Amino acid sequence: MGTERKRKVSLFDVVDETSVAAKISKSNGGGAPMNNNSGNSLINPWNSKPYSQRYFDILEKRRTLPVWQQKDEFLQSLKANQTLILVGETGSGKTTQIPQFVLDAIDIETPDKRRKMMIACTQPRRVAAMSVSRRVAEEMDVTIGEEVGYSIRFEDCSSARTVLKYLTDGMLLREAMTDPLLERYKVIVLDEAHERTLATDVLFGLLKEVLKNRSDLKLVVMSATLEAEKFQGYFNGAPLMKVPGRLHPVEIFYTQEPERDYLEAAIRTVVQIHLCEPPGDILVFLTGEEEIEDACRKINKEVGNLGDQVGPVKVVPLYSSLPPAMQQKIFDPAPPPLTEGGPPGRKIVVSTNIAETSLTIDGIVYVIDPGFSKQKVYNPRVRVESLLVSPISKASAHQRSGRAGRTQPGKCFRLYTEKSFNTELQPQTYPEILRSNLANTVLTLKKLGIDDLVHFDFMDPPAPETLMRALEVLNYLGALDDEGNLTKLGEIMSEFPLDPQMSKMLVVSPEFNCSNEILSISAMLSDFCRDADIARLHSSSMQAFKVPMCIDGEAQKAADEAKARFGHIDGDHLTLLNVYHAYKQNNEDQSWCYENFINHRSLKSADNVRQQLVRIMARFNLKLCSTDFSSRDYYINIRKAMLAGYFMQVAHLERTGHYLTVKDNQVVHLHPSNCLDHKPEWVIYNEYVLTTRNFIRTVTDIRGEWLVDIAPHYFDLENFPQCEAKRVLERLYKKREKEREESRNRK
Amino acid sequence: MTQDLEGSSGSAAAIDSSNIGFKLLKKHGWKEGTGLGISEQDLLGVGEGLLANQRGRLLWKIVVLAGLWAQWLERNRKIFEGAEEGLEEMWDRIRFWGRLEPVETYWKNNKRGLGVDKVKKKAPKPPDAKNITISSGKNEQELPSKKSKTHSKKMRKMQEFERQLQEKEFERAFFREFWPDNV
Repeated sequence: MGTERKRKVSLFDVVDETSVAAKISKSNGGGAPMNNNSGNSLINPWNSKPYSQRYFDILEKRRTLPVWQQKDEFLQSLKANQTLILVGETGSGKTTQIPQFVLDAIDIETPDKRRKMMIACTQPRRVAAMSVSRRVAEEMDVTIGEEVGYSIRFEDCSSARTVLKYLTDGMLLREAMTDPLLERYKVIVLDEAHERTLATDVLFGLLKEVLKNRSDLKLVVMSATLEAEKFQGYFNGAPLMKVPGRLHPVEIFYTQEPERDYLEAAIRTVVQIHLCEPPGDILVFLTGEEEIEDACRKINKEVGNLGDQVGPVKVVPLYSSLPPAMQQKIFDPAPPPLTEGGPPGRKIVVSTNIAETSLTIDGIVYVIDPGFSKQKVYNPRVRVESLLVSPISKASAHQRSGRAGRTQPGKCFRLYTEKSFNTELQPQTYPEILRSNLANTVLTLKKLGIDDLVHFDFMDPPAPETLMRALEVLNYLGALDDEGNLTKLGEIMSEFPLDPQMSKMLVVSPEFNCSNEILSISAMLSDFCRDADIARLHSSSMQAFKVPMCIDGEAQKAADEAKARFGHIDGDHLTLLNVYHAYKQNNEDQSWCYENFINHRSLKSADNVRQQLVRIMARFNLKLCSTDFSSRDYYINIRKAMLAGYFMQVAHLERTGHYLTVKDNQVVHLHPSNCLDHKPEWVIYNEYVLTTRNFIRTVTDIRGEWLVDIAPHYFDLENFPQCEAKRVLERLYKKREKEREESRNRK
Repeated sequence: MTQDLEGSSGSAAAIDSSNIGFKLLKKHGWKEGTGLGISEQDLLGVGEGLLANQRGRLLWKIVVLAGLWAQWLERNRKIFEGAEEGLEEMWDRIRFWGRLEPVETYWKNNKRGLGVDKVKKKAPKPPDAKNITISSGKNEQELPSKKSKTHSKKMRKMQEFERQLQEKEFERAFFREFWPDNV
């Protein structure tokens, strides 16, 4: 049977250690004239302090990174070209080293010498921007936030002295809104370009224009192998440079037959590896939090059943909503053998696709890849953006298997057949721009002065319908007029790093005399989307409660108790507000949070977000106000203000007991986490979740009359599909008409 | 075919011309039936100016090549996988490069592994062909009548070979072990 097993040795670059050493010594001895002064000098040119011993220790290690072999070649190429594409597998050190090379070689003095020009390096993820900049500050022997800084949504850690800034791609896009030619930068490095995030794709088109207008600006696009030629074509044949990764060969195994249950197959494979394979840690890719926690429990149980014959295991979950302290556990070493000389222990990391590119865990030798991940998809026809479990792409599968070869030759077990791999997986993951709601992007582009959206140089143009939806939404919100031009309102809205609906709600909240409360609600809602920079809300009101931290049965109890304490029967938005108020009243006390099942960390960051939003409000003279709490209108005003932003996300309760989304007529259900004590006739919702059933999450009760008062242009009956909601609205309009007539008659 | 395309992107119909978003996009210079981006919009110049400019000609070539490429993929699939792909799917593939349709949304609410669904569809076929001689004869009669014009002898031979392999695979599946004893 051994012959039947399919074996394939992958084509990763295998770096021969001796040749690396030889090349390093050569480059250190012979070349690098630019490096000499900084390398030999004992004074740090950036802050004029002597270098610490630590600096030299790190420098030694840095010199062994693969990119150092090509430092000269890179700098020459950079000098000669305006745009440069650099391709390097993970582990080549490109993210940390390349910006430093640039810094050493490029003259960043401005003519007036008062302020230096900066170098920007973009990252798709906030976490990466923060952690990489810390590392680089350490390597350069400077304090983070001074010469090296980072900037992410709601947090700017840089100063006037900053010369190298790591920032999320979304932040660079925001900066372009005030500084269209990005004049503060001398070199822009777009890192992880292969991930093709929405913001990176927009930056591509934008920078292509900027480069035409600024001959002194240079652009370095960094990517992991696969789409490099496509980038080259897009950037008019810019030179391409390849840096070898430091990867060992990875043997790839496929199953002979498709698996009936990939979760079960993954667990079985883990146990098999633990039983039969030599020491080395295991990385399992699964799709989501629930599935991961489930798998962790099952693996522990299965391995426990095997008794003392096998080594101990340490099963660690990894997903983005996990608190950082828990995430750190993935770097713990594998457990020692139970008895001296007994079978060795093993660490098993069960992760979502964040371990695919952004996080590097050393010591992984075995990778298990079931072939699925959760991906964002957007269907403009039903206006639903959701995270759905979908098959991964060949490129992803390749990345995943590469994770096994970081420290030694590894093995990758793909839980699908080789035929499935060849026929069912698409070569690349669709770029985010094809899978997203573009309302916010269009608003940003309009603010950037790009009016011709149709001919914008998209690397992958989105479907026309997606753009139609975006324009429609912005027009209804009043951000664009009927000619498609940005209105004054739209201009203010674009300044908020939030969804257009939420920005609208904030901007109009003073008219409803409740901007303080709306600010708190927005902050609470947007806190949860930590990883997306242009706000995409994948949140639920219950996330404020630390439910995921409890064990099964307890979770429900904790949730119920928290609900009882803070729940507001009129809606989840108001519940969030209650939680925030209670938190403030208790002086942001950590132990109070713990006792009340509240996630202190998310509230702290919500508070921070709120402060940032207050600053933006102040910039546009939007007044901060509240209705008197004892007034009957206190909550009514808040609910009305919310409707002013979210009138396109309304669902109506049909006589059959189902909710139908207004205009789209999709059957939806209230998410079980809601705090309502009844089924209101009309609700606004924050999020549409596609799972086995269609849920709407974070809902609040609103009244039908408000719809015709606040958003008559949207609930315009001439342009309305036949449905129950339409008939109700017709009645409401007639009622209003009658009232108006009566008041006229009275006069 | 249009029905098929609509069905594939969820139940909802395409956005029609009464929609304000549709009108706004037209005001931005978009023309119906075209995609977005620099090249897509230039393609239109081809239709109007009939390959008047060089760029238009180049782009027209790309369109033709995209068509050929789709046919090539189709051919490969036919030969090597014995897969039958409808004209719709092929057309779909050409359209992908121009991107007129939104990306399909894909629902998955089970834990079935990759490729299981396809096998389920195919599973009843092999026993049919193997055990019941009449039906297999029928199959053979039916297939050539449909395909005789499109398939050469060589292709049919290859298909036959593929089928044999599949049957064997069925037997092997009996002894399937993900983990051989010798590892």
